[in-house]
Amino acid sequence: VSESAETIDGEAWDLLTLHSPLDALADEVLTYGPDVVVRSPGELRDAVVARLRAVVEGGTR
Amino acid sequence: MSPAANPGDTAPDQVARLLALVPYLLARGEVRLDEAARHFGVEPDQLDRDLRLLFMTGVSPGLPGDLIEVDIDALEGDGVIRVDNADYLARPVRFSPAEATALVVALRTMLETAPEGARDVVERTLAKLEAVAGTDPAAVLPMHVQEQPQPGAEHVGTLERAIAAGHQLEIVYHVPSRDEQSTRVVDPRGIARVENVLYLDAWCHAAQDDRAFRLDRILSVSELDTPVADPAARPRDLAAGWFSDRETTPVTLRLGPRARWVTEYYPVLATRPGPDDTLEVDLAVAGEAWLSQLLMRLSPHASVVSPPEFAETFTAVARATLSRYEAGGVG
Repeated sequence: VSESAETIDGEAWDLLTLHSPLDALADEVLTYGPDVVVRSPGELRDAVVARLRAVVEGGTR
Repeated sequence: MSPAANPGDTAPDQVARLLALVPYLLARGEVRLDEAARHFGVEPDQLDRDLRLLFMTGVSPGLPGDLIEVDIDALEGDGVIRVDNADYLARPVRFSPAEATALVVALRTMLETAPEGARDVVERTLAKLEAVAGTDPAAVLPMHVQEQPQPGAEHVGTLERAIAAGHQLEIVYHVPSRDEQSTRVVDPRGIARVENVLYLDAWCHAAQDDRAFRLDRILSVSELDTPVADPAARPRDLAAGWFSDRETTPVTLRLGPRARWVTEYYPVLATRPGPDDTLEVDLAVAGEAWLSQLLMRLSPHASVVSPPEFAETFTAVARATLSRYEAGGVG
């Protein structure tokens, strides 16, 4: 559930702040593909980037 | 499936009945089980099952007092349904900003494709929610909802009139796989929106089978005077995202152990053990966008074995997403 929302970058993006368990949130964020980017926390950002790299570099875990 | 097939009580039927049961019971407070069953046109046993599910349901946030309290002794003993906390449940609902926003967005989306009779209700509900939001700036989150004209939406009026009248339709349809136009007579049953695409669910007399026609591929449509063969036929549940006709593509995925839940969550055609403790599954996929979202959610525990173009799309989406981070971020 979103706690706050504001528009940034000249209406190109909405900035949402929310609370959620990290694993579930990484799944959720990935679902939206390039339309959602994690700014913080770094832990979630790193988790998402690591999962994307694994796909791009190939192979199923 | 023949046009005469009459599907039994489906999950959507039950949800619709549960939604109607609450105001029905609250308005009466106490009602005999067999009387309520007659009202909803179901067997008392079925309504008994509905009620037991309803007891698990309540208003948010789901605290014990928020659950719908029905007197089980009265139900099992006297066959009487009695709601104990009707007053409490009838109190006005307070929406959080996120809930109000979700409602406004959903209603705006419905507005375009809602049947004519329902459009009025949707508009009035929207107006009320937006009036509340107007007095309290924090009531609705700021969001940019852009309504895009739905391709094929211009046919909706004609289709609805024919469905309401029980008339057949003649449609000129573009078949992309053969890149040709075909004219066919169909018995329309309903309009469904699946992954942002509008479909007409119909019995096709040319194919002698059920078909889901994409509205944006219908080049022209005209209502005929002839009645449909089976007026009692009900729309299939296209909204589940799966339908068994030629609009689906067979896809084979390879799932790692952490992605195996897919086989329990979605209907799969077949599964086989794959290399390195993986599982190969065959799915009939109606929308590539849906598949891409699923694969992204599962990443990197799932990959596409076939068809290769779906594998490429998935990798391209992952690469595009990764580039958002590598470009130094947003904002």
